[in-house]
Parts: sequence; C-alpha cells; structure tokens
Amino acid sequence: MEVNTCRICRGEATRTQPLLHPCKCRGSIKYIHQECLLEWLRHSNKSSEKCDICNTQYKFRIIYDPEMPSRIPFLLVWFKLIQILSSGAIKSVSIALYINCLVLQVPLYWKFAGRIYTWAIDGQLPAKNPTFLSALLFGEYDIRSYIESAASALDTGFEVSSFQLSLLKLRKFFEYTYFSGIRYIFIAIAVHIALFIEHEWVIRDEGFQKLLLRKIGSEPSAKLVDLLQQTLHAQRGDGNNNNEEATANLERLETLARAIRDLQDENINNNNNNNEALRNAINARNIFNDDVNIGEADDEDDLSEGEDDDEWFQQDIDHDEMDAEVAALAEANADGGGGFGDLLELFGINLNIKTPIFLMFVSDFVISAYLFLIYLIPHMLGNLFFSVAGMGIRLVNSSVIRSLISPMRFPASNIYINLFEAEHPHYSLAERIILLTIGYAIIAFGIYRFMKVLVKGKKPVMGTPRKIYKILFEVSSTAKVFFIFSIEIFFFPVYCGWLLDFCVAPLVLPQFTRKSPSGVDTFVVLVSSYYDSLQETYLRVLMYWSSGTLYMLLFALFVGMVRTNILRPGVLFFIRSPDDPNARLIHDALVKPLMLQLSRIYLSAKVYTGFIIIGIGGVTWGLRHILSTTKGTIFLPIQSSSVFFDIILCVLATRSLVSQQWALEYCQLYWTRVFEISCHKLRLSHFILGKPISQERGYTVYRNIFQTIMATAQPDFTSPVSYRQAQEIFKSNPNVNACFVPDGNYIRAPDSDTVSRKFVKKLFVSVTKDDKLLTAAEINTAPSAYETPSSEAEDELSTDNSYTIVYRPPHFKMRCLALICMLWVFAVIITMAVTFGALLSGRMILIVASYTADSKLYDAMVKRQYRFDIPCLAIGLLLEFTLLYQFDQGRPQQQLGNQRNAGNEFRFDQFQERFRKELTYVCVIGSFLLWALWVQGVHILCVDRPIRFLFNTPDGPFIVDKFSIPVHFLVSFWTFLPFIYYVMNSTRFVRIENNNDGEFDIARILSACGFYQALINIAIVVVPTASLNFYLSYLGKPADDSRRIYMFPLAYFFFIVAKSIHEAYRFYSRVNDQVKNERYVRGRAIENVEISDNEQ
Amino acid sequence: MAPRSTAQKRLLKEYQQLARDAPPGIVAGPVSEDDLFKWECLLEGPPDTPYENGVFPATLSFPKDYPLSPPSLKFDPPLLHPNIYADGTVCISILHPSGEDPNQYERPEERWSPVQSIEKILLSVMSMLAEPNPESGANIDACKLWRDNRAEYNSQIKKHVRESLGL
Repeated sequence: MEVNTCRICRGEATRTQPLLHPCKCRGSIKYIHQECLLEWLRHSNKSSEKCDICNTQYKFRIIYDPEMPSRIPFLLVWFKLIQILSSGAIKSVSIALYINCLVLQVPLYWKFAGRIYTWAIDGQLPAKNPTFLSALLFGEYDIRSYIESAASALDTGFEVSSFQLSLLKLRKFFEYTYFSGIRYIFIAIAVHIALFIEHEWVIRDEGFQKLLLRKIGSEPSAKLVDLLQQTLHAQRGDGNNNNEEATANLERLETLARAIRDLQDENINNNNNNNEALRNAINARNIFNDDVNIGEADDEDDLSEGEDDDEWFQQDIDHDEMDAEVAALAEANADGGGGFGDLLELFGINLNIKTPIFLMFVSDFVISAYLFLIYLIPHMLGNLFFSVAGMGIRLVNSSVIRSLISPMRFPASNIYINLFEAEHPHYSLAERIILLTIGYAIIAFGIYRFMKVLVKGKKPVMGTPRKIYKILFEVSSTAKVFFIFSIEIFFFPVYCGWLLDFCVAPLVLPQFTRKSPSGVDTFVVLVSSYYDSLQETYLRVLMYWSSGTLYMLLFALFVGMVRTNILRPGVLFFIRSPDDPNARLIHDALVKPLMLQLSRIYLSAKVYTGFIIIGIGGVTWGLRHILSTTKGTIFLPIQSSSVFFDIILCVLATRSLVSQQWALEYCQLYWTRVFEISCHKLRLSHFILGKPISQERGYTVYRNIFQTIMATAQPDFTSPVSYRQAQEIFKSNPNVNACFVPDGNYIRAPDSDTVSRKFVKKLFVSVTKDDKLLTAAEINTAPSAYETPSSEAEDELSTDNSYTIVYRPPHFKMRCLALICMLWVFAVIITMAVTFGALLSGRMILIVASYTADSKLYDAMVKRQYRFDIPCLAIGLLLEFTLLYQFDQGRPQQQLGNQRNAGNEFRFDQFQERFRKELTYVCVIGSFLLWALWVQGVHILCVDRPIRFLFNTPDGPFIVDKFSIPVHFLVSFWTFLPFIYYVMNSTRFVRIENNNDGEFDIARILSACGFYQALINIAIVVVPTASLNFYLSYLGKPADDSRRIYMFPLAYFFFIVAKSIHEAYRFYSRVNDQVKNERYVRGRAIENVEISDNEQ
Repeated sequence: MAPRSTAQKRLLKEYQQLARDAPPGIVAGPVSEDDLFKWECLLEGPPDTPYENGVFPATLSFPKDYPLSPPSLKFDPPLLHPNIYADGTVCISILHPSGEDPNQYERPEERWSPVQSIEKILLSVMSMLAEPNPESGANIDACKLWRDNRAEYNSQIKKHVRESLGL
C-alpha cells in the first residue's frame, strides 16, 4: 500500500499541511494539499473553481478571526452604513448632475442661447411673447392663446386649476423648447459626424493632394537644394583656410545635395519624410548663416496638424457630449446606479460633484460660441445683404416691383416684403433659412475670393499664405463634398418625397380643400398638408425624406434588375451601376467642378421630376378625374379606418410578401416579357436585348392602305427588296400583298457597362455587319447629351473598352422614347391590375366576412358607405399572392422545388419544441397580466378612489393634480418599478430560453417573470380586503362608506411597511456581512467531500 | 543536493517513480542531478508502425512553475510526423497549458493539469506516434504526405529510423 500523496506536488501529508480530498476523484489523485490547490486555482485563473477531472465544485469555508464577537458591534455596522450611504449619495448626485447636464441642460441651453441670439438679430422680443420669460420659455409659440383656448375647452363646469394650466404650459414648453433643442442637437451631431467622416475621406483621397499642389505649386525640393548650395558656397569659402573637420562636413553636405537632386526626380508626395530628415540634419549641424531663414522652409506635414481651427474644436467637444449622452442612454438599461457608476468610471469619468458642474459651464460656453459662429454671424450677414439690397431696390423704385407682386399674393411675395422692406420684421422659419443660406453663401464667397488672392502670385506659394491656403483648402474641399452629398442624400430625396406627396394626394384625400384654423377654405394638393398631425416641419421633412429615399431605392432596384437580367450589357452604360469599380463617389465629388456636378444633379432632378409627375402623378390624378362622378368617386379616395390598425396590417402583409423569392421571379418574368414585346414592336430587340431578329431589320410594305390596316399578309423575309422594287413587284405580281424592305444600319455600341467615357465618344458610328466604317470621316466627336465636358483627365480605374455591333433602326431616338412610354404603360397596367384587383377582392371578402360575423361592421360598410380600404387592400394583396403561390406550387417542379417541400413532415420533437416556446410565452404573458392587475388594482383602489372620496370629486378618468401625482409616484415604487424590472428580466429570459434547448422549467420561468411575487402581493393586499369588502356589502353598508374606501389603502400601507422592514432588515444583514468580511476574515479553507463507498 | 522548490521536489519524485518502474519502451531522466529542469528521454518506436525498431531521443524542458505549467518536449534530431513541428517540438494537447481554450478545440480534460505526469506525457507521445492526429497538424508537409501518400510517408520514416540506428 502506497503512502497517500498530493496530486500536485507528490508530497505527503505533514502536520501543518494535511491532505484533503475536496472532490469526487478517487485513487492516486484523491488527495491534495490546500496550498497546492489554491496555487493551482490562482494559476489556472478560471472563472469557476472546479476540479479539472471530475468537475466537482470546490467548497470553501470562510475562516473568521477566532476573536470575532458573536454579534458584530452595532457601532461598526452603523459607521459602515454611513460610509456606504455617503459614497452612494455623492455618486448618485454626481450621476444625476451628469444626466441633468446632458439630458436637460444642453438642449435647453442650446434653445435659450439660440433665442437670445435671435432677439439680438431682430432687435426685439418675439411678437407673440412680449415678456422676457415667456419669450425665453416658449420662443415664437403663442402660449397665451393656447392657454386660453385650452382653458375654455377644459372649462366644463369646473374651475380650471392653476396647476392644470401650468401642466399645459409645461407640455408646450417641452414640445417647443426641450424637444426642439434635442432635435437641433441631434441634427448638429449628425452633420458634424458626416463632416468629420467626409473630411477624413477627402484628405485621404489622392485627388486632394493633386488639386492642392496644382493650386499652390508643389513645395520645391529645389528650394532646399538652393539653401544647401548657398551654405556650401559659404563653407567652401571658409574651408579653404580651415581645418579638416570643415572639409569633412563639406563632403557630407555635397553627398546630401546629390541625394536631394535624386529625390527631386521621385514622386513629390513621397518625399516629405526625407525632407524632414534632411532639415533635421541641417539643423543639427547648425551650419546655416543668420541670413538664411529656416522658417521659410515650411513643412508639408502640417496638413495633419491643421485641424485646430474652430470647427474641428467644436466637433471634438460635440463628440464628447455625444459619447456621454450615449452613456446616459445606456444608464436607462443598466439595472442599478452602482453598475452605472462602475461603467462611468470605466470610461474615465470621475464620480464627484466638481466635474459635472465644470462640464456644465464648459458645455454652456461651447454652445454659446458655437451658435455665435454658425447662427448669429451668417444670419447677420444675411440681414446685412438684404438691408443693402432693400435700400438699392427702394432707390430704384419699389412701387414697380410692388405693383408686380402684390396682386398675386403668393407666399413668396410675403417673404419678399418681409425681407426687403419691413422695418422690424418678425421672420418666419423659411425666411430665416433664406437669410442663413445667404449668409453662408457670403462667407463661402469670401473664402473663395480670399483663396484666389492667396494663390494669385507666382507659384509655388510659400510661407504663411501656404499654410493658410492649405487649411482653407481642406475646409473648402470638405464643404464642397458635404454640399454635394447633402444634396444627393438629403435634399434630393426630400424633393422626390414632396413630389410623391403630390402624386399620392388624389388617392387618399377625400376633398382638396381644408378648413384652416381661421375658418377659410384653403386649397390643398398635398397629403401631408391635410392632416394636422403632420404640420410640424421636421415631421414632414422626415416623411418626405423617407418616402423619397424609398422611391429612389426601389427605382434603383428596378433598374438593377432590368440591367442584370433583361438588358444587353452596355445598354445602360450612361448610368453607373453600384458595383462599378470606377464609381468613386468622394473622388468625383471632390475633383469635378462644382457647377458641373450641380448641373448633373439638376439633370437627374429633371428626369426624376418627369418620372414622378408624369409617370405616377399623371396616373393618379387621371384616375381621380376619370373615376369621380357627381355622387362621389367609386374607388377613390382610399379610406382608412384607423391609422394604427392599418399600419399593423401593412406590416403583417409586407412581412408575408417581402423576401419571397418566387414572387420576385414572377415580377422578373413579367418584365422580361414586357421588354420582349415592346422591343420587338419597336424593332429594338438587337440593340436593347441583344437578340438579333432578322425580321426587325426592315419594315413591311403593303400593297394598299387596306392591306396595311389588316396587316395579315406575310412578306417574304428571305428576299428583301427596296421600296421601289416592292412597288414594281406589286404591279407585276398580283399575288404578292406585302414586301419586306430593309432599312437602318449597324452601329458600334458599348459591350459593357464599365466602358470609359472617352471610348464612348468613338462609338455609335455606322458600320457594316462586318465592322467596316460606312463613312470614314463620320467619327462622332461632338459631346453627346449624357457626356459632360470635364476639365479633369478622367482617371478611371478599370474599364472594359470593348464594343459590339448591333442593329439600329431609323428614328432611333424616337423609338427609345416610345420604348420608355410603352414600359410606362405596362407598369401602369400591372400596378393597376394588382392594386384594383386586390382592392375589389378585399372589399368583397370583408363585406362577406362582416355579413356573417359582425353586423355593425356590415352596416357601416354597406349602408353608410364606409370603407376600410387599407385592410381590404392588404387582404386582397394577400389573396393574390396566395393564388400566385398556389399556381407556383402547381407548376411542374424543378429539382429546386423538391427541397422546398422537404420540411413539411410532422415531427414530434419539433412540435414539442414549439409547444415549449408557446408555453413560455403563455407563462410570461400570464405573469404580466397578473402584474397589470396588481398595478391597476393598487392605483385605482388604493390611490384614486380614496382621493376621490377625500376631495369629493365625481367619477372620471384618473385625477391628475398636485396631490395625486406624488402619491401615485410614491406608490409606484411597489407597483411599476418591480413590474418594469420583471418585464426586462423576462425578456432576457425568453431570449435565452428560445436559443438554448436545455431543459424546460416552468417554475424558473414563472419566478423570473415575477409570477409568484405578483401572486403574493395580490394575496396579501387585494384578496383579504376584497373579501372583507364583499362581506361589508353583504351586511348592507353603502359602497361609498369610508370604511370600505379606506380599507384598501390601509392594507396597502401595512404591506408597504412590512416590505420596507423586510428590505431594511436585508440591507442591514448585508452590511453586517460586509463588516464581518472586512474586519474578521482570516482566509478560507477547503471543505472535504465525503462520499460513501457504494457510490464509487 | 536537497530539493528546494515544489517543482524540484515533484520532479525528483517523478524521477524516482520512473526509475522504479518505467513503462516499456521509455527511458527518461534528468541530464544532470544539478539541473532537474532538463530531462533527456529515449522513446522506442511503437511496434506495428513505421517507427518500429527506432529509438528516438528527445529533451523535456520544465518551466520553473512546474507542475502548474506544462513542460515542452522536443525530438532531437527532429522526427517526421504530422504533429511534430519541423524543429522537433511536439504539438499534443496534454502539453498545452490549461485554461479557456480560445478555439474551443481541445477539451479541458485533455490538456495539461498538475494531475498529469511525465510518464503520462511520454505514453501519450508514444500513442501519438502510432496514431497521428491530422486535425491539429503541426507539420503541413508531413500531414499532406501522411494523408495523400502513405507509402512514401512510411518509407521516409523507415529511412529515418535506419539512419538513426546508423545502418
């Protein structure tokens, strides 16, 4: 029998170090020293302290000081408590200050500063709020009339309390000041992030350096060489009568000079470092004479350091703010202040009182300076411009202009009068935007002129002007790219959305007039101007932007589908495809001249306008016009029952429709057929689709007009004739009714979408079928419509300059236009068929369904002509797609189809899995219902009804006043807070439960959702009181008996007291344990695991 | 010389154990009594494998915190084998330090723990010689050869064995 040894050190048991057996391992590895095990645990550094072999969790016993008193002295616990509370208080105050600073103060101060600047600009307070305080709080909003109207609306027999009024005011204050401030801050942050990213892109772009060097001339290495040569001369002069060291220096310098001469031949961009090193070398040797100015040799590297101008400084601050804001948002998710505090400290934010207050002052200062720069100065410049221009106009003769515009009274005339002629105008938002734009334009023009002046002299520009120019160039390049991008990404979609708004109006609006608040009918052609809820500017802009972006995206998807699946490659060579390697957006936006880019955007705006107004608006307005009768319209407008319900239905419908690959296949099939038909009719199959069809290479001549109209006679396509020959054949042979006369010719056309622009200029020349030029001189040199003259050499990365020979019929441009028109007609046909089919079938289904199920709905739909069109549309669309799907399934399946059906077998384990998930949801929802019952019960029975009884107010919705809100708030600590906690807990739980396929434990789910807690709460408070209540009513006590009313709050009060005592006791024992751990712990010891022999 | 540290104590114990009854085909021991952290061992090629009849010298280097950290084993001269690096270092899970495996590839119980011993390491290496594990290859060429051209692999090893024996 061997001696037992430690499984780590192989040592035996000693008096001080006995062998322990802390896990279930047996045999030679049963025993271990405590020291060895602890060292191994420290070393292996695992999250759980388990045996590596048998995975038993090691059990530890805390060793307390033998002198520990049996009860911890109360004083110690008390001090600990004070310590915890005070540090917690400082932490929470600090966190509160941070949150206050970022969430409240920054947006509010932003608005206040902006308003004060506005008054400074206007020289007066806003007309609607003449007092300083109300002007500060509500800005331009007319709070007094709102309060009056609200008061009169509320005034239904009861006196409107001042508290209610101040609540109303608070609401408007939040709407018009706080949320507006937040919106502005978000916009500012978004703009600055965009600016920052674009700045980074721009200065990394190769075109940037090239442009810059072209403007200011490349920094001459020659200059350095000159300097060297000068010193060399001087040295040589000295060196003649000097020692050897000087000669050695001289030689080294001459080597350097040679090296520099080599450098000059290299790429200029790469030699910065070399220059730098050289300069250092020269400085180190200190051989320059005093008259040689080192400062002139300016270094190329200050590009990267040039960010210290104001704007970028601002941006850094803003970033800080944003980060902190994100952290503040994260706080909402963190479950406790302590965790959040740790999180903040992790970010290097000190939780003391001083820092957040300092931060507040800094942010106020920054906001003031920022708004001064970006708001006040441009606005003042704009004002200056208009006052100067207004003076000029007055000098000329304003009455002429006045007589021109005043009879028409369109909105622009108001703006004109306000801007040019009013003495103390109150500007509207649009006017302020105009003023700001002009201010910015003036600044931009100033910078542009200044930059021109800077580079007017001979190149290269050196010294301070060079530095300034570099910074300005960086700013202006970024601004240019930002300007272009903001137009393309923001303003253009907004414009499209605005047009779409106009186009959708006839489908939705019941009539085209709307009562304005003043009672006058105004004419509306926009959907968004009809609804009151959309009158906020930012909402409308947001709506326009999203719908415009969606439209452009869909259009791009359509073009992409047509390009890849239907068209011959190279047809759409003038539209960049998204996967084109030459599409360098930043580079193009930076390098191409601004006016050229604007003209391109203008061109595409024209195209989009045409497409939307004619293509969509024409159809919708035409439909409205055609379908409207004297009684009203048959189909239009589409009525909606409730927006909320409709949105849910739409989401459901789109979820089932989108990402159905087979539906997209049918869509593609339709368009392929459409293209085939229309191209064949227009004889464009070869050009557009790349399918040479010999019958298209000419037209058919018929014997007479009758035959032309009938068009039944088939010409002999194998023997083409000329028109004159055809006439002769008709004369000679009476049986021939039609002849085939070829015309048109072959041209060279690009064979790929990534063709280079220069190459395209050489294409589109007439050739024979064998690619021989028909006329040698006919090379098209004039720029075509889509080709724009560019000052830049277009350095495209990779182009596929190949061409193909395709047939071009005569009147080619007209045929292309006709093709577009035909495509449009087909698009209209399919859209109308789908939507009207859906609408009609959906209405029918709904009417039938309501007839059988819901008589009220049936009455509303049939008798009162009230239509639920959006649900009908959704139902109809679903029906159509289901039919199409059935048709698709019924088709003879290819090999792909078999896979589709493979998963349809019934499998029990799947069913079980599903059942579990459903059961989880049932548990969660059941618990929530219970909690809702608890919350509602407490707030009605224990708060609202007693207060009502106390103040003798009649029944109605929840009382909201000075007294009830704090009480509800207090009570919510035991109602809403745990409810929210359990909701968050259970969402996390449900997510985990859905992911793992571990064992299923209903009890765990229920306790995670707080089911038992809610049950206990209700059992303690509601059940006894309710039963007592029932008993009292059984005895015949009236319902408004004070005993019955106050019973619930009393029960709830005892419940709260019991809860609080329980919590306090738990807290106390926790602190007790903490004290114990801090003061008396001497270490820990491993517990042996004893297992009986028969278990082995 | 009296053992001082835990590592030295344990190494001495293991040496005594191995000297008392070593498994067949394995000879191992410290290079010198002064330095217990450097061991030399001789491994016999397992029978019925191409390594049969070969005797392969290898060195075991122990870290100062042995047995908390595993030793490293290096064949000198290097051996052609999918799990042996070109310089002779053996790549086998028992020689990998324990802890959370970043790749989740080896199970924790396969890796080094102080419960393991030199004897077990050498036995594992012997069985590794008999059955290479191509999934955690250390020598790509050997892996390819072993997988694609077993005959060539076997003949190369036999040649190596003959050379090592001085034939």
